[in-house]
Amino acid sequence: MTAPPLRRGTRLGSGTLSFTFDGRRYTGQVGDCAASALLANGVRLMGRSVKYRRRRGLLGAGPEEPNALFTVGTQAQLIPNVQATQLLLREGLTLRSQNRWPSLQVDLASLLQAGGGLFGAGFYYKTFMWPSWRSYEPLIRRLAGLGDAPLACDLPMPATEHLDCDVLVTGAGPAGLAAALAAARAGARIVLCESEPLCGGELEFERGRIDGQDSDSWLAAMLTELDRLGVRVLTSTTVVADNHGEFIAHAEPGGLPGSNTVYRIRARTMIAAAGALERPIIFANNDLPGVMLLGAAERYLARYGTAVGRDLVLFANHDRAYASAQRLLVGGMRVRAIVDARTDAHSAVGLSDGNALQSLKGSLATAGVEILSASAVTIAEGGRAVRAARIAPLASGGHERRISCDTILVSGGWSPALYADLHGSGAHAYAPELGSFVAAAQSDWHIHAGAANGRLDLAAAMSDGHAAGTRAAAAAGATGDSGSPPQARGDPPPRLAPFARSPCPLVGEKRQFIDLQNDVTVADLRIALAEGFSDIEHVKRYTTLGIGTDQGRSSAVVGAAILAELKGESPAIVGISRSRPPYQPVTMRSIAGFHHGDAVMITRRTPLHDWHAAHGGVLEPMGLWMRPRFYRASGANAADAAVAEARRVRAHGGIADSSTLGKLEIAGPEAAAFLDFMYLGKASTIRVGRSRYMVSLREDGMVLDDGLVLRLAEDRFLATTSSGHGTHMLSHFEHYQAARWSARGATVTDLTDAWAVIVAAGPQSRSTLAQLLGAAWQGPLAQLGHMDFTAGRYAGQDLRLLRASFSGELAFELHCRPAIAARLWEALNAAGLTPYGLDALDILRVEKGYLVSSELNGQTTPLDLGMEALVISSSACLGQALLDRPAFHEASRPRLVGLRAADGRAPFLAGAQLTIDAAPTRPCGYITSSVYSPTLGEWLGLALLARERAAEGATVMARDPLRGRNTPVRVVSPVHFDPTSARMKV
Amino acid sequence: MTRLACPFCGPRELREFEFHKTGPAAGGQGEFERVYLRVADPQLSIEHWQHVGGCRAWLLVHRNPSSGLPLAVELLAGNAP
Amino acid sequence: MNSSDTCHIEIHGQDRVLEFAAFHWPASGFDPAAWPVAPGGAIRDATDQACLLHFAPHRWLAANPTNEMEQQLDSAAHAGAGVKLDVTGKWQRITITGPGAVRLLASAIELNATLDGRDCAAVTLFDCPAIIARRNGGFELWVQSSYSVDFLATAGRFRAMLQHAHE
Repeated sequence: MTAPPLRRGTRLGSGTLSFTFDGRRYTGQVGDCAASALLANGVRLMGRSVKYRRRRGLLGAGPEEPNALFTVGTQAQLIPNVQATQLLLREGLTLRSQNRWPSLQVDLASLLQAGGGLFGAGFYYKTFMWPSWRSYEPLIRRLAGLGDAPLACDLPMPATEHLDCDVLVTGAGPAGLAAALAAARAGARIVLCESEPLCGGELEFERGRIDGQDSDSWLAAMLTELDRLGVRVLTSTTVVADNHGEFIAHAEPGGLPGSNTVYRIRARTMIAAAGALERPIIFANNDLPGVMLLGAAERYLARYGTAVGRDLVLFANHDRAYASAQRLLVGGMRVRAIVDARTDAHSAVGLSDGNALQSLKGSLATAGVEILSASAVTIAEGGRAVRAARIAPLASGGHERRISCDTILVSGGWSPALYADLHGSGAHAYAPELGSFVAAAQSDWHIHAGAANGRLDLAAAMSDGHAAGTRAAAAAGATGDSGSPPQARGDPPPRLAPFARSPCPLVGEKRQFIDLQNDVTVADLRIALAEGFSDIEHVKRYTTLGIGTDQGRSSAVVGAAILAELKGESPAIVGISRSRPPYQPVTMRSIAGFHHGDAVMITRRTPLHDWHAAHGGVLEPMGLWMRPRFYRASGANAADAAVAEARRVRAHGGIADSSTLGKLEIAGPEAAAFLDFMYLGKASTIRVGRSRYMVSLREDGMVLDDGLVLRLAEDRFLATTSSGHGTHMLSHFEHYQAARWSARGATVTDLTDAWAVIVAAGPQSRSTLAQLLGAAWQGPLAQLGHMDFTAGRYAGQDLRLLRASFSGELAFELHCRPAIAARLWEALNAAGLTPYGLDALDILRVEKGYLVSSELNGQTTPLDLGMEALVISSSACLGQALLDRPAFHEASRPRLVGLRAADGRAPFLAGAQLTIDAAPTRPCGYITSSVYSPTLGEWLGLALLARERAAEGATVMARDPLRGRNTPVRVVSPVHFDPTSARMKV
Repeated sequence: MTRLACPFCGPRELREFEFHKTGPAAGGQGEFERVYLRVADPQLSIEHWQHVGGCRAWLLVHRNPSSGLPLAVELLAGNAP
Repeated sequence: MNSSDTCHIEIHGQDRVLEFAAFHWPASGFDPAAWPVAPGGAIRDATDQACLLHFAPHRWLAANPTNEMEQQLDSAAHAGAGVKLDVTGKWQRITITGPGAVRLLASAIELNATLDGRDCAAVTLFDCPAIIARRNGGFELWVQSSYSVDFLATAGRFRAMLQHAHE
């Protein structure tokens, strides 16, 4: 560990904060990020690499950081993989390093690397194939992955906001500010997103002059003007995904959930001005703590007042390194040497501002900075951190040097931030002067500006931004004056010569790290090529180059350049791999939004929902609804309760909440004709005041749903659907109404929520209703025939009474307005009809052979279900034509049958397969429903069985390997109980 | 394509719409052809959508499958092929 | 707390609510003075409350209809233009008013684009089907009743969070 470096205090605040890292207490300053605070405390080792467990320190100072990923918080508030550079320090923060066991200093798995390159490219694919992946999986799972996933989540809900604007500008650096300003002045509506807490981008350390002012003054004035122009400026907000014009931005002030916001921004034009990402030059041992990006050192100094080291060696391939060196010197660090990979061809002689550069070099030399041109850092030396840089001349003949230092600052140029394009299909082109890629085409809807467009010097970036803003505003129809472009002067243009990696003997390439997050080396690229993976996307997947949470931010362009070198091709041909959204990691909690915990799905509630919950109803989801399975008071456990409730209905009576039934009113002069088309059988022959059980088909002939259809008037019907199918059936009816019945006098209206439905079933149901509903209802109740209904008033509200049964008992459906449902329910309950749930209903309906979605499962035709009579009576209904297909009439088609245990006692369960005997043969059917019947004292089933096996009296085997049970069962009629339906017709 | 212009509601987010099916091949004779045969034209797909998250209108969407972009959106009103 | 971000969510009692579904589209033969024929159009009563809302093609919502309004719908039905349906109980009326109403609803939808150039729109708010209309000082919603409890819970959470953020 080096001595704590120099420190001046952070730009963002003052005061001290205490925090812990791996259990040790440290002090930082208000405004620090976790990375700067640890740096200031002399901490260099911040994590271990995911594969080799090599010691890693900071590479960057922003969202490009691949190494310093921490786990923050504990238990249900735990968040892994938080970048130390993005995490604002706060009092009491608890940070843990990752990928190490038992500790960061001593990691047992790092011994794996002693074998040297054990996990090469394709290692998993090649090594763990024999005898099977499964035998290795537990060990590998323990070692693999970044950080540990939390086992529970109690993070706060993020805010969400939908925004609409003409122009979304991403990045509030010099170009983004110029763009936003130009477009806003012209009158366009602007949203400006900046991922850093402060606007200004590189102006933070590249203190240029703009429009005759120093950049700080200019920035302050511009922010005031943007505010005055109504520009929505969102700081600490990163645009993480571009969904073809809908942009998702995530604001996470301080780098942790808590006050975070997810924005959905609809923009006509997006100006990508997110700058450029500095990339490293690759050399051996370049992953040693102490090797950092040059721009990161400038950021730590300018924003946090933190020096990254005491003795620096700079390694770069451009002129800007000299300006940086000057600023680092002023900041109190010793710059031992500038290693410039460019040859003399790039000397400044003849440049317009060559004199300025020469004088800068002169003053650096005076300050003791050695300038080594046409040279490269080849190896970083050191065990735990950098101790020296080994430097070799690039031309033959020179001699190697070794310069002691604690930090090597590297800069291989800047890669325009193309992220949104790299997510999608945007084309990009290689720009040799940048050594990187730029967007190949600009459109009015998607404009790159500034460094993101390859304009690396301040003046060019700002005029480019201004032009982009002007263009976008014009495209949006804004006609105001965008003003004149800002006149800026900053660092000289970099005049870069592409240089991706230092010369290296073959054996050393295992230590030339390209992707630090995934431990991908130059040797891995060679292996991939040797094994035939040469396309950049194949190499990415085979080697894991650029697949980490950083999506190759510091490695993709360098990796492409090195691949080009190894293939002997131009980078223009090799291209660059696509990255995946989100651009910055987003917690799943933020993505979930309000869909979390109990609210993960919306719940629809019947008017009796609260009553059920308050009276021991055990609710289960059915579609979006919650329905009571049983009531706790009915029995000691679910099975006992259901049996008791079913018994009560048969013996006496009960009530059930069927408000979840879909209810569609079909109205208009052609309503009957429409329903004749929608249902099997003829709805047009239902008389007013009566109802009928109807089945609807899909267009391919399979049964879609069933329900009762009530004829309310000549031109009005109420069609009920099963509860789980309600929304689908509404869409289905609306679809055919629109496609075939539009303008033909039939309308479909959803009345599901307008009517509550209470079922009163059992021998006592009629007398109880008679006692409850009052004199006006006595006549109708007595006269109401099976499947008839009548309408009237109860408690001043509409009430419809339908005599129909899904239990086999005398039963009535009471359709009432939601406002009186609870009152009616409680009155029925008080009058002795106790509630029963779905489990009891299931017993009652299986006893009677009535069908639910277990039988109407989308794979059964009406012929399979024994509805031949309906098919014959119908003419040209939806789906009927395709019932004629020969395969639907074969002997192997299923047939609905009833089942009972051959011994009359043994249980069997739904899901069991049916075979012809005990031999393990291909199944000839399966059990769809099974219940224990308290009425008959044995297990009953419904099944779909091949017609050729479905004769009543035949015996088949119910095979249930999951429960280890084989039960011989006997085929019987699906109507197990009361086959003449005498009980419900009393 | 992330927005669809509902003829009734105006442009709305795609997530409000539900795709149902591609229209049948034009000139299909029997019911089997109508139900099962689909056109696979790379330039034009005629589709049924519903604006379930809005006015619930059924829509006839003409779309270019190559670009993914809608060419025309109208109310489905007996005009399906 | 910043008063500019407060809003009030109020649940109203069960109104009598009708829907009118027309057979033909585009709707023809309707008196444009009495019927909001344009998509998203609405007719407002003396208190500026929307009382006849054209929220879907072929379809209008009549909230708390006056006798006069009901007669208008009946005569249209008798003339064969469509059908009147009593949907009382289907829609729960909820008002969101106050300076923070826009921000609260922006948690769910892009409000300006949705209501651009119209009085009302059928929308999905926090996963709940609803009809939204502007009113004095805020918005009037008709949320499908079986969803309304969850709607109020979610809207309440967002409201609390937005107000908390400004404390």
